[in-house]
Amino acid sequence: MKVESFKQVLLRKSLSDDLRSFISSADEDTISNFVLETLEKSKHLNTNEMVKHFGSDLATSKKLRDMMYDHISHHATRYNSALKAGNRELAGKHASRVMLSLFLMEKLTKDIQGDHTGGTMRASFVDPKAWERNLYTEPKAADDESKGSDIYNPISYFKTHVQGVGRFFSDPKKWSFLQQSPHFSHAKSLDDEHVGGWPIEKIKINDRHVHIDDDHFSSGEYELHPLDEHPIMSHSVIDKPNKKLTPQDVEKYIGDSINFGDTYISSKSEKRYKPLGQELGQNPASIKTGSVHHETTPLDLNLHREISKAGSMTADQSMNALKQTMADAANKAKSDQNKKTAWEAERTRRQSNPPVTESSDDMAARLAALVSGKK
Amino acid sequence: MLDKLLKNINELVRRNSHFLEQNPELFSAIEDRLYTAVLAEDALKKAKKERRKHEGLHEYTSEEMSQMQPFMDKGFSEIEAFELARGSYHGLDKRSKGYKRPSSKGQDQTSFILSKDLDPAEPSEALLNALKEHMPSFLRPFDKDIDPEIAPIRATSAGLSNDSLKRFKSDAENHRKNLETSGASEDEIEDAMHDFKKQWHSNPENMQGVIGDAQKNTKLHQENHDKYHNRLKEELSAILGADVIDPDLDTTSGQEAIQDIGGYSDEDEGSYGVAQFSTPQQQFASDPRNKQYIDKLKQEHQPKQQAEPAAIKAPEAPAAEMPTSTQDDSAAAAAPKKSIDQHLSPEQNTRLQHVKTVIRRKGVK
Repeated sequence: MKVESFKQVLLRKSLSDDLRSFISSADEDTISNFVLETLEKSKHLNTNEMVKHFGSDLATSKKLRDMMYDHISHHATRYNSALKAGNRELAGKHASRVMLSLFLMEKLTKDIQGDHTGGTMRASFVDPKAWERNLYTEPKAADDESKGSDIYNPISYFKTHVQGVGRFFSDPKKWSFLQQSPHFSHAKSLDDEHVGGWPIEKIKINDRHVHIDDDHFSSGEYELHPLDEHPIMSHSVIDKPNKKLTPQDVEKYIGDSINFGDTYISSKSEKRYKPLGQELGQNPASIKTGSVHHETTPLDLNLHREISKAGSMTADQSMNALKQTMADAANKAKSDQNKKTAWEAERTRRQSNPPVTESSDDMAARLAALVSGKK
Repeated sequence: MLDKLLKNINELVRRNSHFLEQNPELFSAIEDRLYTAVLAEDALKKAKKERRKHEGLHEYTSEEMSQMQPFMDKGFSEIEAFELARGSYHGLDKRSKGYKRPSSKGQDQTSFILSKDLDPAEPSEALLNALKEHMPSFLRPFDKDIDPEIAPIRATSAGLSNDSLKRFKSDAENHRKNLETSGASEDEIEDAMHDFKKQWHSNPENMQGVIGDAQKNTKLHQENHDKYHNRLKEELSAILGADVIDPDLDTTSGQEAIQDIGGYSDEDEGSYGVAQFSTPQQQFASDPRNKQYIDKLKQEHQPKQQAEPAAIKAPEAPAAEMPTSTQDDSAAAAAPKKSIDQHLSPEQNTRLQHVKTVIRRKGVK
């Protein structure tokens, strides 16, 4: 196959005459610079000095790498248990911490200058942009009738661009879009598996699935992980633009990170961190747990692919979609309340008689009784 | 491997014949398993053959080796050196013809797993470096000639200074290697590495290097950011101040437009490089499809635009002197740019700006 030049491809794909005239007159280098620049901006890949320093720490310390893995699994389990208790606000708080560390991983490993961890860390996860799109589906004002009210008209709906993992909300409740099905406008690019809620259980750190403890019972309070005390773990530090960075910031960061190491990494301190694998006595979670968002109604991919081919929805289809969203919202509210009451009953029961851990001998006896009873 | 499996299955069938008679669907499962095993056996044989073809152990003669040796010294692998010694490099072509990329979809699972071993040998670093020269410039990651007005992020990343961080990394790696060879446990290494980090940063020379790097980098970021935004401002003002021309009626050539303003043409006429006088900004402004957007832009930026004409009109006072000093060619040659700017009306001034931008963009001298 003969390889087309970049310019030819762009000329073939551009729709407007303005763009075509610009492309035909400009050099290939300038066009490619424009394109690459926009791509880099869209990925937020402009890491600052502090993140680079953290990358060098990760390259040297295995304990810090384990902490990174544990941090995500800590918040993912609490996210799961909070959802089970019907507490969406708490779940949102934990989800924001998961997103923060994934954002940090992106900044560390996918920078324009290469991998800052020296190849010691890598993360893989499903991009949450298709789910985030659900936030911006409100139509524009009613007086703007010229653009039409069809929901497949991108001008009337897509006001802002999605940011994915790098998104920061002051209101943690907004993260509840993770529990919805992905937006239909991404139907072309979505995998057939990812039509339910955002697959948090598919996060992999160093080819190891994140450990989500399904038996964890939510305490109802926001529990932080030791790594959250690290100076890097805030959105303002990770996403600080390079042009606003002062040398005092870097100096302060280095001092704080050394203090963190004194408390959690050095063997002299009492708070010394034990990785999750050491506590469990084995390598945790090499197998993924079941779906966390198993309750969300999946997106009908085939239907939406047909609609996008046809160009617009029929009246029946739009009515059905509206009905379904209404029914989903009502179901959510009901199930949340049921979960909350169940969780409170369970908590009072646990407070009155705390759970007794079963010894291995008892367990064997119980199993034997079960087997004999069946026969 | 297949013989072992058959023996095992025979034994199993003999032992559990009664159970199998009751559950006939198990036979189909066993059949499937056998089928895949046979496939795997075939695939293995093929794989061994192909591997021998591509990477296999072709015994080089002493003559060939002597020819290959200079390339091997430069860091090329054996196959690459063999191909290079023959005078032409066909290795990659050969491999790419015979090699099909494995995909998980629409392919048997066993063959997919086995074909992973069939990956052609990775090219050596020396070969990659040699190929870099033939790479188109837009694929090169760090080109130092990137214009910061267009791509500030890429331009800065080419010029960042990370010497102190690199030094810290190499020092830490060496320290860790020394600890590992001495046979320390993991916890001890963690402790020692933390102490090393403390010591390294407590050294004022190292810390000065870190801070100096940070200062340099922020300065570079700021400068390139400013350059980029200044260009945007220039273009915005050019769009907002452009004469809106109906594109169907506009037939003025580049030379005529420049002569309108008071410019002169060179002897070779092609030097302007403009077939029709309409800058990209003017074309954008006169397009009826962009009217809504330009109105929005005017609402946001017009107050700044209104302030500028007053600033231009202010130095008009010395303009009265110019027509009188007709014969003073030396003074005109000393400051030609200023004199032209002052004599122009605002409309002509904007046109001059367009021409300047066109010349700058097209690289006409």
